This record gives sequence, structure tokens and C-alpha cells, in this order.
Amino acid sequence: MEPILEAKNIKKSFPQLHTIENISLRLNRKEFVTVLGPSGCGKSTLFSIIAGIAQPDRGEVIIENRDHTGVAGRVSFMHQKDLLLPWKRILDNVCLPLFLRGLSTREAHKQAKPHFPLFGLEGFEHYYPSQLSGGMRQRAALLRTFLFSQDIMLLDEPFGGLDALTRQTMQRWLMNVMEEIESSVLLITHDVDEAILLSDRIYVLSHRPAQVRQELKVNMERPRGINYFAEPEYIRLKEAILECLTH
Amino acid sequence: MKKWRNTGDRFLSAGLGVFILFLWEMVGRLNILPAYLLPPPSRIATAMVRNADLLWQHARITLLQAVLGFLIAMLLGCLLALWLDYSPVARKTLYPYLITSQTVPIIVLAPLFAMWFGFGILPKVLIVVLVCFFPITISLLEGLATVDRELMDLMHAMNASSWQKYRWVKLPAAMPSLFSGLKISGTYSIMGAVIGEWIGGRMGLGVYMLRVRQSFATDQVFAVITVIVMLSILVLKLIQIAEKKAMPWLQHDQPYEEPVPHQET
Ligand SMILES: Nc1ncnc2c1ncn2[C@@H]1O[C@H](COP(=O)(O)OP(=O)(O)O)[C@@H](O)[C@H]1O
Ligand SMILES: [Mg+2]
Repeated sequence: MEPILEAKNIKKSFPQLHTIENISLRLNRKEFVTVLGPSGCGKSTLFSIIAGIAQPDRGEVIIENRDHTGVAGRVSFMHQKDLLLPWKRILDNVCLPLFLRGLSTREAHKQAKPHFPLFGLEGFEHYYPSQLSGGMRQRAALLRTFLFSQDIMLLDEPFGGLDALTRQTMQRWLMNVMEEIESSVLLITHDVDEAILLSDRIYVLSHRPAQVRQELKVNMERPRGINYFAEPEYIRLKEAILECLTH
Repeated sequence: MKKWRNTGDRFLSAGLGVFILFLWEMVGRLNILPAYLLPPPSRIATAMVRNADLLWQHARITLLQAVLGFLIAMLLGCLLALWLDYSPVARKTLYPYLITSQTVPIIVLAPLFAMWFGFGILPKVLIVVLVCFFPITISLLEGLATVDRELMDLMHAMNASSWQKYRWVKLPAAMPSLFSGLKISGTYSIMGAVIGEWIGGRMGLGVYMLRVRQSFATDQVFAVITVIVMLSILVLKLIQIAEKKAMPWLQHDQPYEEPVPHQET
């Protein structure tokens, strides 16, 4: 498999704070890779660098064999907060990246509408974000991310702000969506179950200054069933990850 | 429940107003204070009705000056705020002067304006502009500066141009703040025009007020004050209507309850 995205030897310090020490990771085409690490270890910082909105002190970001270090606008980026525009209805919110690209309202709507059923937003096109539940807002934010760039998506704790029950529903939902779309995804989380449920591969990061502690392959059939956590592979992975995180 | 509470609060404050008017009326009726010092509300109302035509002639001019000045201030204030927000250098250079300019009392500028620009409509409009300009500029500037950092990062990640950042995020986000500035300015605008008219001229509520004061027609002075208050409220109401029209998303804030998802079986 050829990598679609590679981060090589990324290093980043803030004044007073050494956040990332030499992280290298790679994302293959149509692969789902999770970056798992303790809070505050520099995961979001790493994503800003990969998305090109921050400069690393050292290292480079290669996308499809071209240098994209510090170049924004190639990959799409979703945040823990939905960051929907309160003044726009859901349809216009998800179309934002298309509008920014210069599409007319009609063209943009025409492109976005077919995706509404898959993202569970059918019938809510003309609601304002404040009228929707947290889960629906995150789905809208994900659709917006998807419409910006379908081939590579960075998801930074997309379900971190949701309650436990909604989070589980959303994780299953995302797993099913991944069957339907052809994207390569990098996901940040500190939820071990979420990582195992969704990923093909997992990078476990250390505390600050963050380094890749371990790289794990998830050898489980897709789609993963409701009782995936009873499988030996799941138990093996969870033990390995917890071991790695707590030492 | 909340609605009922609001109505209750309104009822209370209206009741207080009626009570104060009643006390005031009694002060006059029972000759506690003579009418030439404090005319009772009924006499003020009579004076207003009797001079309605004349009051309207003068009020028209004041209103015209206030609205004209307000609109010019809005245009200039918004342009300046946008420029200061866009260019950090301009902001660092000009901001201190902008703040300092507010320490100059308008009332001492008024006679100077008459000297420079005569007794026509121009100096009055300029005073209104000066009064209204500052709150509009500052409120828009603050609104633009307090936009969610992460939202701007997202716009950056989506490759938005400067213009697109303003068009989609900064300007709409700054609207509530801008409107609170517009409401303050709008309320001051009538007062600004009246102060401008005190320095001289032929028409306007300020001119008329001086005239009736010199003839000791206290009830008519109060009638003018009432008209000034009414005009100020009118301007405020108009801005509030524009505010609702400009920010429709704030009218739709009833959350929609998500249906319970079907259990997979
Ligand atoms: N712009 C910045 N300036 C200084 N420190 C920062 C900046 N951004 C993040 N940090 C710090 O870097 C550390 C890592 O942040 P972050 O990447 O958000 O962690 P994570 O997403 O893993 O929780 C945190 O301690 C945070 O306070
Ligand atoms: Mg983070």
C-alpha cells in the first residue's frame, strides 16, 4: 500500500513548552488510522501542523509525494467543537467549503443534498445549528469536513464533547459511514474503545514531549459487531494500549 | 412561565410609571410646587396638543439632522473599525487617538462649529456624527476582535481569503456587538442634534426650547423634552426592528429534540 499522507520527524515546541518530539506517521489510501494519547500531549498541535495551519520546528508533511509543510487547504479538518456558523442554516453550513471554492448557491446545494441521508440530516436542511442536538451538529460538521476534501480527513476528537450514550451511537454510525465512503481518515481520540472500534491502525503517543510509543494493527473484520469487545483481538489490543499508556 | 414572568415585570414597571405620574400631578394640583417651576403632566400634555403643529415643524428638522448624522457616523464608524481590525499597524497607531478624542466634551466644540460652519444644518449634523461615531466604531471593533479563534483557524484550514473570512465569519459574528453600539448611538443622536441647535439657528427642537424657556413657558419646555424623549425612543425602536431583521438566526433558538434512535435487532 502506498501512503497518501506522511508526517516525517515532526518536532514542535512552544515557548516554555516542548510539545512534540520527533513524531513520524503515515496514512495509507482508504485507511482509518487513530492517534491515541493522553490529554495535552500535543495531538491537536500535530493535526494543525498536518493541516498546514501551523509550522513545525522541524520535519515535513508529505501528501501524495508532494511537500505540504505549512500549506493549508489540502486536507479537511474537524474539531471537537462543531464550529458551525450559528447564523447559517444547516444546508448552508455544510456547503461552506463549496462556497469558499466559489460555487454558486445552487451548485453547492446540489452537491451537498445527496449526502444528507447518509449523514442522518435529511429533513434538517433548513434548521439553524442551535436547534439541533449535539450529535446532529457533529454529523453536520463531519459532512462539512467531507465536502471540503473527501480523500483525506483529520478528525480531532469529533465525539469528545458528547455524552457517553450519544458518543457510542455516533461511533457506530461513523463506522457504518466509513463503509460507504472512500476516505482516508486520521482520528484523534483518548477513548481506547473508540480507537479499536474504528481503526485499521493505531499510534499510541507518550506524554509530553510526545513521541510514538507504539504502532498497532487492528486485525478485526469489518463491520465490527455490537459485541466486538468480546473478541480476543479486542482484549489483546486493549491490554497492549493500556499497558503502553500507563507506563 | 418565562413569558408570564416577562409580562409581570412589564406590568410592574408600567405601574411604577403611572404611580410617579400620579404623584407628580398631585404635586401640582395640591400647590406643593407652583406650575411655573414644575408643571403637572396634564398641563404638559395640553401644551403638547396645543402646539402640536409647531412642535412637529421643529421636530422634523431635529430628526432629519439626527438621522443624517447617525447614518454618516455609521458609515464612517464601520469603515474605520474594519480598517483597524484588518491592519494591526493602523490599530496600534490610531487607537490611542480614538480613545483620547472621547475626552473632548462635545458641548465645548459646539460654539466652535458654529464659528467654522455657520448656523445651517451642517454643524448640527457634524455634532451628531461626533457623538455617534465612537460607540459604533468601538462596538464593531470589539465584536470583530472576539471572534472564536478556532473558527478562524478552521477558515484558514479551508483556505478562505481575507474577504471570505469577513463575509462568512467575522461580520456576522460581530453583529450583536455592532447593534449594541448602534442602539447607544441612536439614542444619543437626537440629543446631539439638540445640543447642536442650542448654539443657534432658525429651526429645530433645541432652538424652540431656548425660545420657550426665555418666555418662561415651563410647560412648553417640558413638552419639548417629552418630544425629545419620544423621538429618541422612536429611533431606538427602529434600530431594534432592524436588529431582528438582520439576525434572523437569533429568533430560532428552540432546540429540536432528536428522536430516540431505533435499536438494532
Ligand atoms: N499556541 C500555543 N502556544 C503555547 N502553548 C500551546 C499552544 N497550543 C497548544 N499549546 C500547549 O501545548 C500542549 C499540547 O496541546 P494540544 O496539542 O492541544 O494537546 P492535545 O490535543 O493532545 O490535548 C498543551 O499543554 C497546550 O497548552
Ligand atoms: Mg486536543
